[in-house]
Amino acid sequence: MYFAGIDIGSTVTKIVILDDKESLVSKIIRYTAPEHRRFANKLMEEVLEKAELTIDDIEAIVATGYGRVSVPFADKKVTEITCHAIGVSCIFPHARTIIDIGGQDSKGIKVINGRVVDFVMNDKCAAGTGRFLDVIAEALGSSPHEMGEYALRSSSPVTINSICTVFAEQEVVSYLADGVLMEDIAAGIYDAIVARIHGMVRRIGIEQEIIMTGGVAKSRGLIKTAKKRLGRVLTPPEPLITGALGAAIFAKRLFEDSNRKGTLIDKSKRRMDRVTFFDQAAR
Amino acid sequence: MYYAGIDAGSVFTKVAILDDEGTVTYAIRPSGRNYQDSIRSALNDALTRRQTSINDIRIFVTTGYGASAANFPNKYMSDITCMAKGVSFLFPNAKTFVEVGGQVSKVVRIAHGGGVIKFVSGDRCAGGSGRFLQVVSMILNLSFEEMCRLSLEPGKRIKFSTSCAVFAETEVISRIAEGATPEEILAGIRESIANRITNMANRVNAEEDCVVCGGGAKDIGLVKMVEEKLGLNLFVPFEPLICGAIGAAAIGKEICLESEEE
Repeated sequence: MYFAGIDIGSTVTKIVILDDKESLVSKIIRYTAPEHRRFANKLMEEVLEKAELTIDDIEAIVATGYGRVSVPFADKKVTEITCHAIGVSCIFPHARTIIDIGGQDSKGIKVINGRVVDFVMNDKCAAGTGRFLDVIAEALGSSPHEMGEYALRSSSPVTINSICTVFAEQEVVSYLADGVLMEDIAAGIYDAIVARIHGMVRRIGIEQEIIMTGGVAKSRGLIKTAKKRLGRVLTPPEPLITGALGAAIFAKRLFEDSNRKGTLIDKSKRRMDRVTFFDQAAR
Repeated sequence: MYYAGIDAGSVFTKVAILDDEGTVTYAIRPSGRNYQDSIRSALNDALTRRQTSINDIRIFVTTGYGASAANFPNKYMSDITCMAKGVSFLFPNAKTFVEVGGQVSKVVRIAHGGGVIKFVSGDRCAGGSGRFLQVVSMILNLSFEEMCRLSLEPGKRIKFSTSCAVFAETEVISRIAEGATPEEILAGIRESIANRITNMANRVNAEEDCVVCGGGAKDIGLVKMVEEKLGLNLFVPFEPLICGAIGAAAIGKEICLESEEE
């Protein structure tokens, strides 16, 4: 028996397929493309093919993330807060604070035994999200990954006074013009984003263990800075998929629940038709 | 004798030269990356237009983001002080002014003579500033002037969900993908800026005469939208960019006259 979780994020889409022992059968991670419905279908077909399964082999499918409404083959839609909490707690049973930094939002989730107790979220302002790092990396003529590596070499990070991404970008440009070392600017940028996120997550109370997820958690520069400020910080082996993993586990529980109640999941309601661009336009 | 005001803003560097009769000569340059260059170039241009030389300038008053780049003796004043003075110089009955700058918007209540009573500034966040207009003109591939001429007719407005200047860029792109016209997008962006300005204006109890300045004041569609939301008539100076520079020059003149009296 198989279960799937699909997490359509603002920047990256992830699908995870689990078996009934909750071990990973297959996963896929791609940049989110426009036209979520068509894109979700295409990616699902791809991951099923990889796992040598068909959609009817999947007992339950749960969609999450900001694009979750655009998944016509999902049996249920669940918020990413819930899914992250489940996914992270599956890997780290003692997790209490989850800090998820996505491409266009960031959130802090307080969990006890996999249950969400409280959360804070920012999706209104680019500061403190992956987007902040993208913009700054571009101003530095580098990539977010490279910037993270640069930051590791700094011994005297600059101070970034602005919160706003637009103003911080200008600060960075003037530091460059003053001849400040790239690594010191990069380290200053990580200090700024960690300070911003710390300020937000502090509102729900930070307790150990702290787990960082999301694409930004892949940056060694960020993790190093976060540890300086927060103490012990753990990251999953693949920080991007905790939401999709949580969704797949949710799918398994959904299936077990409905079995217990005798209300089977109606797979015929799933729509997996190939939607072409022209169909979309005609609609 | 002449008095020079230099306003090195985030997008444009402005120089105004004031004489004893109150005549203003000005020059505007894009700030670029090097304020020293833009200040020198704008100053030389203004001096040439006034047919005078730097030796006849009694005082230089500087203001704006890049003011520290001025490498000659000068007196620095804050941009709000200068702008208030400049607005009052041009519109003696002004009680409020709105500045839509390249990266910061502000609303300032002023006394007769140009003293600052109260102000709100969006200096922590570029949302609702001229940056929004820059983003749209860049994505729609229009010059600022072309954009200002676009869609003065009231039509459909796209509602924007974000007030962040960075996310606005993404949202404009996805709205275009969904088939929105440039006019509809521009109307939505203007509304978003106008909402933000109205919030600030309400916090200082804006009242008439109200002046709008800064680069955003050149977008007549935006000015009309702000008028609609604010319920006030707005005055737009002949050149909305130079209020700060004029104010700086006027302050310079006051300083010189005061020291003469002593």
